[in-house]
Amino acid sequence: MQNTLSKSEKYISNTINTKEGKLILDSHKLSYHFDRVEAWESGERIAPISVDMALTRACGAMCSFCYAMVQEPQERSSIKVKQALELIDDFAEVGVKGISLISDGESTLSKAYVPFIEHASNVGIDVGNATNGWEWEPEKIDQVLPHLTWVRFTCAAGTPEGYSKIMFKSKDHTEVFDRAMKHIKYAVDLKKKLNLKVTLGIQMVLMPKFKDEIIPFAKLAVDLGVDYGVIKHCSDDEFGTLGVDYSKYEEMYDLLEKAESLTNETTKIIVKWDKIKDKGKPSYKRFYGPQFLLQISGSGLIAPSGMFFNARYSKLHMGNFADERFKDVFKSERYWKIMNYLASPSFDAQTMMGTLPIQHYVSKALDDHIKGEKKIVRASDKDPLHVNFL
Amino acid sequence: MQNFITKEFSHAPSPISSREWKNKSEKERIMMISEKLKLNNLYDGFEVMNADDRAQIIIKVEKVIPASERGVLLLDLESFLKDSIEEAITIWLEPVGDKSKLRNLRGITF
Repeated sequence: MQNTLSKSEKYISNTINTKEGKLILDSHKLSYHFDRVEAWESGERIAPISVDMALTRACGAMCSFCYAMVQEPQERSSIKVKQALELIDDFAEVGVKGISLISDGESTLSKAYVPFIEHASNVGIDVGNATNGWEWEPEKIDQVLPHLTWVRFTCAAGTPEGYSKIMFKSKDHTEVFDRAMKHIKYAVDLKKKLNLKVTLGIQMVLMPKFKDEIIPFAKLAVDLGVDYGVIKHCSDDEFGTLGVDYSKYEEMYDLLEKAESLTNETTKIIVKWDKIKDKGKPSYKRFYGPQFLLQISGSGLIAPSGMFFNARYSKLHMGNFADERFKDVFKSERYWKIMNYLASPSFDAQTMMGTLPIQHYVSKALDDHIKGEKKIVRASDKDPLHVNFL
Repeated sequence: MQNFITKEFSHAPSPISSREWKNKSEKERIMMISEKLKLNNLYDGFEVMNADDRAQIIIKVEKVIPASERGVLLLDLESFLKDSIEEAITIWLEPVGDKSKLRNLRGITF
């Protein structure tokens, strides 16, 4: 099925039609969780709908765009399988609906990885996973793929040399590219073979200096036969530590549109225009998003956002699930004291945090809703794909 | 406890530092804050490293404070300093650099 929305309609709804349903990557899904929006608006202490987290901070890659470089907290607790499974139980008890294993580490390296996903699936919580795919071997893929809602492979470039230069030691180390491609192809084939519902995609975190990789990336997505290839901006902290020049993104609009034109029936090429066009500065001052989309570090640290994992933001640290149960943290006064701080004039999202966090779309929508600029309304159509990942 | 989800907070500007604060030298500001820290032994081992014109305060903490305690401890401290010295005061701790040896080869520094 072709994407039936016109270009202008697509930009308004930010919805991509796929063979398996509507895919929303460049927006939020709060309308599909309207009861919780209403509860929040009336002042209730709501549970997050989605939690983004990692099971470790370890990673064998060295991506030049990696925000984890600026997310080091004081401690790195080693997350045990038992703690990870209890975390799932606590999520189920409080009402979390979706877990994305992204955050600040390569979760596939954790011993808890497979049992965590299986247990979440058993208790009815959706799980998605972003990975470089290097250690995601067939045996592991066989175990987890039937339980996953989506897998998104970090793929910084479309050429082996570009990929290896951006994500590993140098352009000569293309073995990591070969390994990732082998595993992605295995997953694509397994999905077809077992007729799994899982969505498979690759993601390019675009830094302006790597613009020559935009078209090869889009072609690679099509060649692999994944469901989508998405291109997004690169986040940076408020000090510009990673050196992202947001003024340069505009020069790439033509290339990005050309990449999108490679979309076909199987593979959608998607550009996160909303984030790219924001150029790193949000319209909101208060940060409401974490109440709906919480983040947990691969160190076990619970903080409203990955933007606050670093020790610098210790005043926004809520606890560590390796030391105490998540449900106790969630029910504590400290959890709400910190959430309310982010919603108070003492916090300014425009100056006190990094650019375009994972909660950006949700935060913008909630801020617009409160200001009356654009009200969130209850969705009346069928749930989109990945509805529990805001 | 109510969430602060009123329109006023959504639009409200964050406090900016006063002329009185800006007219002080950084050494004077650090001294003022340090004096306040001495009033409570909860802040033993806290050292003020920076106190800039915008009232952004960087504190170095030698002791290890559990994740379950440090958030509230520091928010209470910030609130106390706002009330007693300068409304725009915002506190941060010294950042910690990436412990990944591989990624450190990228040469990113704080």
